[in-house]
Amino acid sequence: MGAKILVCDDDHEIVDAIEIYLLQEGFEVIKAYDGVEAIEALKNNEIQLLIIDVMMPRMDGIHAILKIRESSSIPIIILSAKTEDPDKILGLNIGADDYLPKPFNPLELVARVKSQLRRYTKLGNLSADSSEIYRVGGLVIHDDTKEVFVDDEPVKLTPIEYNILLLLVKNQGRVFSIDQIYEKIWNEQAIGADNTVAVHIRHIREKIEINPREPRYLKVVWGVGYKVDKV
Amino acid sequence: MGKEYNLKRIFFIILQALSLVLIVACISVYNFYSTLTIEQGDDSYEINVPLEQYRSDYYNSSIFTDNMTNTVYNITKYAVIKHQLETDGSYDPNKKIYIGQYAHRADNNPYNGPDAAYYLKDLIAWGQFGISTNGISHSYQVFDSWEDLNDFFGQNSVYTAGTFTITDESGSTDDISGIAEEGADSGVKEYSYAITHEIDEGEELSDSKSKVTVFDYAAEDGNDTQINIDVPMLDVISNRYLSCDGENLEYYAADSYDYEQLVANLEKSATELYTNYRYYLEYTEKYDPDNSNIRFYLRTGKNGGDIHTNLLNYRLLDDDKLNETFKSMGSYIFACPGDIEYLTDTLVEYEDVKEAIINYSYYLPDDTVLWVGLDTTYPVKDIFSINYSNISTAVRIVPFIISFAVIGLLSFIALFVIIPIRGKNRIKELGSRIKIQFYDRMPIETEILIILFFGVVIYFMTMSIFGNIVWDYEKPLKDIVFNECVTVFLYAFVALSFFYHILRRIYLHTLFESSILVGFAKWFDTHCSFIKKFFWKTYDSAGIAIRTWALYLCFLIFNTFWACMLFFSKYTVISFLVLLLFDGACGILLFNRNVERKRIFDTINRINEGEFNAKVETSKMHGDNKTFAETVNNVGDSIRKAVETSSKDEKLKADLITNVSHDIKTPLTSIINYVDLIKRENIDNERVNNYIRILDEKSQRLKQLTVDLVEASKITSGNITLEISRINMQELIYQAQGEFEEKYDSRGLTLILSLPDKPVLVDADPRYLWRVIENLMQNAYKYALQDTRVYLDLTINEENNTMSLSLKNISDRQLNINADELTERFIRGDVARNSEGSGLGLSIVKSLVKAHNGIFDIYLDGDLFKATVTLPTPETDAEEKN
Repeated sequence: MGAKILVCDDDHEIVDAIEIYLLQEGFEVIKAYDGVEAIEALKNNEIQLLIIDVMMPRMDGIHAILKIRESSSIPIIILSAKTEDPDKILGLNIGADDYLPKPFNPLELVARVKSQLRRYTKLGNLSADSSEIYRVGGLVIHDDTKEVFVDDEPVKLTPIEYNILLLLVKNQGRVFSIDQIYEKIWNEQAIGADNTVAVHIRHIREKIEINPREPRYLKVVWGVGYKVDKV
Repeated sequence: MGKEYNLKRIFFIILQALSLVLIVACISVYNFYSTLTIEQGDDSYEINVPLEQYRSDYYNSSIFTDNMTNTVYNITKYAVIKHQLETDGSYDPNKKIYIGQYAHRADNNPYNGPDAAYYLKDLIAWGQFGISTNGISHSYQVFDSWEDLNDFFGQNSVYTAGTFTITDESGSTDDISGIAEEGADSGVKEYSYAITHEIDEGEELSDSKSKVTVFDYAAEDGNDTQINIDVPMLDVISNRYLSCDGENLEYYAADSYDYEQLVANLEKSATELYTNYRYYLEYTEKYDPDNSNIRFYLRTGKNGGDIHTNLLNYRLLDDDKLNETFKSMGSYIFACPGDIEYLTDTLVEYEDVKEAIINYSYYLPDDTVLWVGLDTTYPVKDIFSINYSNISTAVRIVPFIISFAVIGLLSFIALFVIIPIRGKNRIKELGSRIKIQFYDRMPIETEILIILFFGVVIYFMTMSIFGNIVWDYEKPLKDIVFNECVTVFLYAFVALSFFYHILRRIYLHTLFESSILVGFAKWFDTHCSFIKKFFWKTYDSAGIAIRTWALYLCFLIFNTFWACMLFFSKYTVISFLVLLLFDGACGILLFNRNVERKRIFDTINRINEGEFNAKVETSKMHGDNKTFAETVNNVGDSIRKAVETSSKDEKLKADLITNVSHDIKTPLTSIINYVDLIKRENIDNERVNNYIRILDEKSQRLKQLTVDLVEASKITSGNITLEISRINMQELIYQAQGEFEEKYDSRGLTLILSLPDKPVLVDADPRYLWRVIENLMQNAYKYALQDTRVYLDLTINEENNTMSLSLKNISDRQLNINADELTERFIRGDVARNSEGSGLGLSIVKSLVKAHNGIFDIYLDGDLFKATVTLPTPETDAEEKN
């Protein structure tokens, strides 16, 4: 059943470990150990997703991705020991969809793989949305049924959490301060606001984000407030 | 091409010289016309008047008034002279002149001394040359005795020598020895007048009348009868001066006194008559109606008397008609001092006119009537008409003069700009192709000499052709202007050519090429440099005391010596020159040393501002300054090296840590992954599970450590870029509280917030500031005693525009280290580490706070741990950061 995933890293043990996790989730895994092999494998197989390392012999990940992006639009997750901001930015700019620093949490990798695959395969169905549906990337809110989906997985939120998330999603890109959120949701004057909102936000993040410390949807603007970015 | 350029160049220079000529010509013409003549008595002189004053009212000007006044004086004088020389209105050479009366005509009392009549023509003729006395070598006649003298006068007098008793007017008597002259009918009383006597030997007493000098030798030889008579010496005139009677002058003189008086009268009359005769001729010519615009009419009496006039038809005019005639002339004066009548339309003062008449009161009585008029239609050319025409011409041409002068000036200035620019462009255009001629290379001194030679040639040439170039009013205007213009042109052309050639040489950098003086200086420099070298060598090797005091002493001694020479010796000029040269050289030396020092200070400042490459040029320095400069250069080098090494080291360290962490991460990934896989194998063995748990924990810790390590090294090496934005601290603290709530709850920690009412804003990079708060909160979470309170206080310090954030907690274990070690324990590595912390957290906080210009402070008191972050608030910081 599972999608074909190409895993490319010059470290055989890492490739093997990833294979084990992905196989457990029911994916089919094809292995490659450098950029050249990855391109080769991509040509010969119907690959749905690519997990690739950056530092590799013969052809490194960056060049491989550039080459692949010439002909393919499959999701690409970079897996790299390079964790500096410039490295991440470079990777995402040349066409990768996600960037996971090493050492990584295997479960997080699996979650991201699933997320990318869902987005990739569901991309065509967006037209069915009604006006009651709000969508930010893989995050979908059905306001009529008060349901929230992240990458098609339903998420259970309390009413307050739901309202906060809805407020932020409705006003994508706008930053709300704690006081503003409090006034909007509780409909009360914020007198000496406390950490209530912050706690709720964290709870939401823990429910909808794969890695709450590096949120994709609900972002913290430190010292200013919270926002959901436009995708 | 080159020829054309040179021709144009010469043309331009000629043009400029002509501009100068134009200016000079304008000035000359203006000078000429603004010059008026003033007559004063016999003299006349030119005066340059300011035009403005004369433009409006010439007839009220002081020059016109002075000239009119002078005319009045001349006319009265003329009338008097006419009276002396004329008979019935015309010159009469055979007029008989009584010399005594004539000579004393201005006396108050009528003359009654000896007199003689002479013909006017004779007197005038003699007056030309003066009356000559008898003979040429002897201007006086010596008579051998009193008898001879008497014979000369044709008289007989008796002289008696002896002692006389003289009774003077007061009645007292005196005995006098001497000689008495006995006149034909003189009584005893008259003797006293005729006596000249001597009281003491050698002392001469002379009677005013006879001037006979008697020397009394009686006292010497005791014989009263033997007396030597010193006979007078008389000026006797030649016997060709004959009177109307055909006689010599002695014919009219009774004695020597009379004779002398007559001679004086004759001389005076002849001289004065000759002078007057000349005035007569001059005035007759000058006031002839054909030569003068002045008309006058003078009558020596109100109702009749002699009439002197230059009116032709005066006989037909009575006084009323005369008034009419004169009033119609334009300017007129009428005066009759006897009636105190004075009429005029000029500014001539009555006092002046009166004086002109009273001067000759012996001829002109009080009731003299005088008319003077000036015909302002100026039918003839005289001083009045010239003045008037000059002033009116000047007024008329002034605008043209100014225009031309301005044109000349402008073109002169313009060419002063154009010619050098053309020359410069030409040199630029030709570049290296330009031909440097021999005259561009000749010694500058030779060139100056040549130019001076030209100057001298022009001087002598113009002097010989035009005469003295100094203003000469006798010449007509066009001659003056022409002479001046030619002279100015020649000088200007030579001077400008020289000037521009010097400019050209400056552009060509050949000004001092082959210059004799410069050559000599260079020769001196190369051949006598050992003196300089010796001096500096000695100076450089001497100690500081010798350098300063010995030099100062030399200076003092030298100066004092030559100052003494200057004041006390005859070598004043040489001493002065030596002092001037020496002190000037000392001044230059001091100045140079200060300039050097200034350069050194500038370099120090540049090094201070971070320009470590700055260097002082030391090759030309000496003594202290040289050492000083070299030291500064070395210090600069050292600092540069140190800074370079230090920043290189920091960078290397950060890079090393980053690279090493990359290499650690890859195997670590495998370890974490496989530990996780083992965990999923559901192993029953409890011990093995325990080992796996430890492996899991430690591998996670290793992971965290690598991340922290990279970050810490990056931050401490200053390898981060801050993206500053405005942050609300309250919001940040609430967000942090939200993030940590459950963690704190898990350890039973209660976070107590104490925040000010108003928002606290800071400018900081939000991510890094969050790291600061997060690390502090994390720290408290890890090390605070379970079930205690953690206090977070935010305060604003108004006085220094900062805010402080402090976090206090009670440590769960003993803090047996001091505060500094907490932030540097990782770097120092001397204190045992424990728990899950990497020990980098506080170190990172400290670096981040420092990067935000803040202060991070840790305070330990027993188990109390207090961390304080102080950051500047934007009120003070806004301008610096933006």
